[in-house]
Amino acid sequence: MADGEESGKARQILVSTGDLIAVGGVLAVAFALVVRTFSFAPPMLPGYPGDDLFPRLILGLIILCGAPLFARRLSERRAQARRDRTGDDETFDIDVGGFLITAAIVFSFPFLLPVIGFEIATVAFLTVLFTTRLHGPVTAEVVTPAIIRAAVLKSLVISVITMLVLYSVFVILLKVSMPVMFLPKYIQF
Amino acid sequence: MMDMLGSAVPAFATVVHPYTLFIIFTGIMLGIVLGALPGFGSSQSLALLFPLTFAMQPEHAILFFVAIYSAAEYGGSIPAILIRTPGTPAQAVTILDGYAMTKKGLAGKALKISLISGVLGGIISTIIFIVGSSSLAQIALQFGPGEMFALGLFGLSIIGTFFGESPAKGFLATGIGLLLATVGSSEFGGLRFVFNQGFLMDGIPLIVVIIGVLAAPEAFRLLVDHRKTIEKPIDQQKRKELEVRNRLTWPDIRRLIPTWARCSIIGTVVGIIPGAGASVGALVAYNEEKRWSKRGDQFGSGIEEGLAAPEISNNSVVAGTLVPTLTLGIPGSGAAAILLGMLVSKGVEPGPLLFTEQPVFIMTVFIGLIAGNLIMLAIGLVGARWFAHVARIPRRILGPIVMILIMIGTYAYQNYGAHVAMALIIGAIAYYFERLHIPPVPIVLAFVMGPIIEHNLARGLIIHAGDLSTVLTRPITVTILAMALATAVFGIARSRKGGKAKRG
Repeated sequence: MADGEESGKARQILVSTGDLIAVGGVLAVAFALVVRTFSFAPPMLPGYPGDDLFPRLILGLIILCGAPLFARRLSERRAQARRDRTGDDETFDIDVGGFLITAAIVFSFPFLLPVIGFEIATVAFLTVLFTTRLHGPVTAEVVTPAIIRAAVLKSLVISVITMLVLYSVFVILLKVSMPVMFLPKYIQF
Repeated sequence: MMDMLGSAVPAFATVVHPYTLFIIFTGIMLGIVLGALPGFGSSQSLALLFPLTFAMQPEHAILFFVAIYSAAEYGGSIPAILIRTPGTPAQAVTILDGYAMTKKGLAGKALKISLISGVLGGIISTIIFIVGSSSLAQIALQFGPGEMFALGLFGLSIIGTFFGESPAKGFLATGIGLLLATVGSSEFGGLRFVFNQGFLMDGIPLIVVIIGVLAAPEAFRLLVDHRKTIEKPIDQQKRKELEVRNRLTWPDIRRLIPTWARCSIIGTVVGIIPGAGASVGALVAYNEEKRWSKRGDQFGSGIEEGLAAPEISNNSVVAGTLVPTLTLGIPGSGAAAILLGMLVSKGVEPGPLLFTEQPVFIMTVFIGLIAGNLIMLAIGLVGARWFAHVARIPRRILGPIVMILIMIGTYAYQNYGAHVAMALIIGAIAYYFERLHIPPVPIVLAFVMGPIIEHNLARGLIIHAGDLSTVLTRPITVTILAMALATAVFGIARSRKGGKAKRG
């Protein structure tokens, strides 16, 4: 498959920093949950398994694997701080702004679905996402109201068609119960 | 067995009847479509289509179900290969090399390998079933709680050491998967980690974990990283090159024969163990093939053996699952439990006497399985051409479609918006984890295996009043535990060697 160009305001983050945040977070949750296990009901008889046995074994595994990894990354970070960065440290890119905006749009869908119905929620969701994607990168000089109108219209048409396909497959064929507002009045079997 | 072979002629006549072939064909089509949809694995597909069997004769009903079961396992591999969204848990392993092949422009070849592997898996395991069903059933009877617990630990040792760049991260991901499986009601009647939230009382559904860990990060990646990606048009020469590379050639097939032979046996054996399931079969087959294959170090980069191994295994599990279901009345998987329920409703009593009292029925099932796989081959070869076009959709367009599909699929499970939100939160975290090379597949596989391990550990402890030593020293248990230890040690040593080589 031919590869294209990617653009976006990606931030470079050291893998060691990322590991510290991720593993540190997991360890913090693990320790909190270990404390939580002490509030579980005791086993029926001494020596018998109860609610707490398996979770404690798993949390022990997580702490056993996570703690050395966290310690190793911490010492690597201290070593990196002491020496000049040579640029050899492994990094990864992440477009934080783009991710947050996308996440906000995506997370709104399950909340809007029961409120405004499947039809409108799906079309709105897809239209918002398609509008900025159908035409690829455009520069500020090229964007005109006519282009924006065309992009929105094209996105709206594709979104409505996609919504109808999803409705046909999930609601009509598979009889999945969706919070539909008005389509059953016009399309049903 | 001689009685059964003598029943082959009337069984064959039943299977080749146009009505029976129509039933099988319909089952295959429905199974492929439902298996490909996120949220509809083989169990859900069978449950959904159960009412259609009410008016069918027992042999038609079981052939319909078996056709759906086999086809759903293949159907689940289509989105796994094309858009990294497994249709069923067993395809979590398929993604590794299947999706990697798609990224290399080999989606068509990957789909063909998946199809042929699936068909061969179904046929080989059916033949093994015909020849050795009663002996295989006796092996299944030897698996008690200790053996199942050991098998679970063996699975965890594979998961932790062979996925991801380091065993520490692999086992960390495994632990996260196991922990997610403990949320909700326990089998001792208590509630764990629900924090007074109603939607957690029944635990985290499997669909939420599969979508959240495997599909949602990819959807986020398509939406965020490829928001403005413009694929360069493929020129005529490159298109011809890709067409040639996507052909499945005789050298490819010859290279895959040892993989198919090994992994079909693994899948059949795993299938006969009640509770193990297709995901365990796919995992064990992938691990073993990685060990035995000449190109084991390339697994995960998009090679044919890495795709063929889990695919032939997870379809072999289908016939393997029928062994304990029909011979002992013990369902080997969720789908087999539904099949068992259907048989009992038709007045067919599974058990050892079924083979002697109804040999024609049993042979009809076997021959129907083979016929179904051949029909699936024909449908799949025609369909593969069209399915592969999905890989050509520009990534910036694919992103919104994949995201809406997985959200609707998750919602369709129980009409619960909270499940969609959970899947998205897990997906956002997994998107970040993948950047750090914390592998996602172990989370899903550990989530599936966690209840099996806990259930059998608890049974062993209860049966032996807290003393596990009796259980863990049984011959099969000791063997499997030794394999688990060897796998973990080998994996850690291999990782250290790789790390030293990198630093050197």
